[in-house]
Amino acid sequence: VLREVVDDAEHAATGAVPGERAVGEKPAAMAHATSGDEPGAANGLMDWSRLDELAEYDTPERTVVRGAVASHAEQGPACLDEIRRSIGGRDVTQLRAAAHKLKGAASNLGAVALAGCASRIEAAAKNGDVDAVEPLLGNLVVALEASLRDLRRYADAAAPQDGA
Amino acid sequence: MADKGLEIDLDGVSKAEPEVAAEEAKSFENAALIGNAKLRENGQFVNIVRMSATAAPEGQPLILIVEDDPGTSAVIEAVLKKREYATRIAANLNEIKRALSTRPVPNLILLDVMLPDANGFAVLERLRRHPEYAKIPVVMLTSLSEPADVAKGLALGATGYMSKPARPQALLQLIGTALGMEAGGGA
Repeated sequence: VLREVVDDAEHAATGAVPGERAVGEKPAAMAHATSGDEPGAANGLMDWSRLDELAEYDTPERTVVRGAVASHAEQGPACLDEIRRSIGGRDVTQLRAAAHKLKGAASNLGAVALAGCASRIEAAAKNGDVDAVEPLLGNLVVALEASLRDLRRYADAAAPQDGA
Repeated sequence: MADKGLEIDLDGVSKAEPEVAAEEAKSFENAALIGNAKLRENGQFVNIVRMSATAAPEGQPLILIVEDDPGTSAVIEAVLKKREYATRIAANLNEIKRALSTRPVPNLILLDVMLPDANGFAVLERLRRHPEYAKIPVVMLTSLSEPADVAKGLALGATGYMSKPARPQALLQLIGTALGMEAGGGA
């Protein structure tokens, strides 16, 4: 599942046109989408170098990045809800705005696969093609949940430990 | 305290992108092509014509960050503060008005394009009509970096462009160049 999401995101990033695939909602697959690797381990979902390069400008406890992760954990699912509502209402303006917002927050934290998925939805909305968005939604859900899980683990690992 | 002379009229600014006459955009075609190439290479560029012609600001420069994603504005602010820049943050039209209503006037504005209640290019257009803000460097923060997008921003008075996500070194270089504090990065 993750390989498919990452491939799709890479296609979006490079501008290549992938084969059309109808991907449905896959919440059950999410249990397998993260591997339990160490926080920061390469898995194609995340560009960890983005968070590494921000370390120089952050506190030793990574206050800024942890705050950004907390904000994304709250706003990411809200953006997803907005995307779903916009599809239902066939509101391409709102759809584009919500996908754009999600893309920006994801790329800020190095969540490249999620940014790629959101970028494809934004492009479809820009073209006024709501029908093209629905098949992309499943991958977006997978990428959002998997990247949030990875980011939370990263933030937890960076947080001051009790008694430290 | 609010200063009447700084008040900016943002009434009527919406999420709609302002139109730019084709001839006007065409006059920035070459600069936009160079800018687009620099954006792809470095993640930032400053239009050489609009690089600061005045002396670098004395004291601690103040940067207004207009960005609606709190995680993104927090990261940008952290990068700037580490280099001793003062910052203000605005996430929507009301906050922009408030941030611009008191002295000191910002030395530079980083302006997101897609705001929740406004289009950044439309805000830029209003800034350029205001006597206090007409000459302040305004850098567009955006993922819209095709030559046509860049030409539009330049035609409306943008000083430069910064790709998202903002890379710390590129961001600092861009601000230094736009404020006339260091050379390089011009297009």
